[in-house]
Amino acid sequence: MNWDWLWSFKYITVNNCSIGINLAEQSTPSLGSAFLTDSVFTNVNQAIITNFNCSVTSEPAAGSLYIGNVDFREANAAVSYPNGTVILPGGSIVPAWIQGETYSAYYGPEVFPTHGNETCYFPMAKQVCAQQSVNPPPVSSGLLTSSGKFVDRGKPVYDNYPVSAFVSAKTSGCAGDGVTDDTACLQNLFDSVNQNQVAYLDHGAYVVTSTIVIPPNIRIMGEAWPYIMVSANKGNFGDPTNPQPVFQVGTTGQTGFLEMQDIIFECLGPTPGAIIVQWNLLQDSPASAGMWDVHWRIGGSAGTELESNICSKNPSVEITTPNPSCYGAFLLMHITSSAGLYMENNWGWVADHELDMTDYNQLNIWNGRGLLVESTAPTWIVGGSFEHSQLFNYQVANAQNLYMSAIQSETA
Amino acid sequence: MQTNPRANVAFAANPTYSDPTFQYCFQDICYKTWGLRVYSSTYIFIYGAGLYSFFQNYDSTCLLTESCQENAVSLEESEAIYIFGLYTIGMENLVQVDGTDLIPDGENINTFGQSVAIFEFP
Repeated sequence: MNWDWLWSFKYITVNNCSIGINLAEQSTPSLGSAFLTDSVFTNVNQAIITNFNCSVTSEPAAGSLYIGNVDFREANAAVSYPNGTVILPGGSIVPAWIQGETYSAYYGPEVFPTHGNETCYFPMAKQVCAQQSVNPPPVSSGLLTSSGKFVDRGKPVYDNYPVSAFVSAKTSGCAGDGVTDDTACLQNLFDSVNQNQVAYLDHGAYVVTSTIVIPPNIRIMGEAWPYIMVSANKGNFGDPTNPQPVFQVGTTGQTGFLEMQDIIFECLGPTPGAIIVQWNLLQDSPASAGMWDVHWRIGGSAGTELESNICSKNPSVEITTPNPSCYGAFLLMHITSSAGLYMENNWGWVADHELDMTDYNQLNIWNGRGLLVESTAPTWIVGGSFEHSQLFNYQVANAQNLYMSAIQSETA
Repeated sequence: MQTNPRANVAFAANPTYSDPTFQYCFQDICYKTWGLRVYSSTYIFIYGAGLYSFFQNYDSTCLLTESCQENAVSLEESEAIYIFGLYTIGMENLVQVDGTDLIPDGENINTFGQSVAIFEFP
């Protein structure tokens, strides 16, 4: 593995290998950063090979690596150089080990002689290049399993469910044609399924014009990523001073399970008053409530009315005024203060370029915010991205006990 | 498109959503989408973050000097914040704490961008 900017590995098992992970195929470190946790190396000679060294000053941060709770008991060397020189020996479980540049921030004193030697405190940081064991962070126990690993839950696949358990949206009368208002039909579908069934959104484009309340204890699955198209044409979702949820998952104080997967949310024309997903539900056991492979794709594709024919970039204008016809949503995802859930592989993409019209131009789509996390109960956000919103891509506010791994963003 | 116009032009900051107000900004490239903003929070654990800024008004010349954006991360009124494996592109600084820039880009060159193995504010 000799390139890329960001890696996050967990629950990796390496058996019967000479080399586990080789970060040193090139003569100098070339990896961005890697994180390895809750993993096991069994009958491995060199578990991790690196050529990182704090004395390399040309690219002092290349090859950054963090190891957390990794079992090297049956590895000869945990971390070593290509020539076999051991940096961290095998034979034990390593709680926390780091290589790379480290910064520890604090409020430190600064004395002002011209003001009677008054002392004020300012943010400062202590920098150390490290290649050594470190103290593990004080991870909230609620984020961990009983064996001390981070909670992990793969996407449910329902392979033991009979076909009859899948309740089809289209068989239930929803149009999914990108034109018909399916709000009431989808609400009825979600209200009608029981705990042994799956609300199944056949591939299509379902137009939604007012809030749909998702009750707890149901399962929702899309067929090859159907679109939920948020439309402001009934007067909802158009006012950024009074934003409204589109999919409201549970209400404040509700507890239960919920599984949602394989759906793409889009805007059908400007919806600057839409909070596309508002998650209030608190999981009733770790990761029992969650979303897998649910995405947001705002503008830039056929049927959205937010395309390059009206929303192309114009950087030569001295001061760009946002085009009211090219707004996306107020907020893509809001995890509210009462919530707690597991998210895996969720991409909130505001189109910065056209996908379908053949100019493939770069676009000015104005979407307010990406992901806002306000939960205090354990919440996991694993492998995701929020890109090209205006105010923030990720914001954590008044929150606690949050695990995020492999998050990615791009500025608007 | 930023900063033509700035990040706070299309949508006004709304305190109900703890929106950023960019009150610490002194230069134009500060008014850009926060990659990650942590406000009034504790016990936040981030393992692997890639926060990128490739343009200034659709011009990527700023990548040559890592000056497309002033900061990727803002921590405000928070503690017990742990970030492992922070990787950025196009940022003058990687992290700001309560308005003070703490990690200049040049100390942490890493292939195409910048990285730190640990940033903690215990």
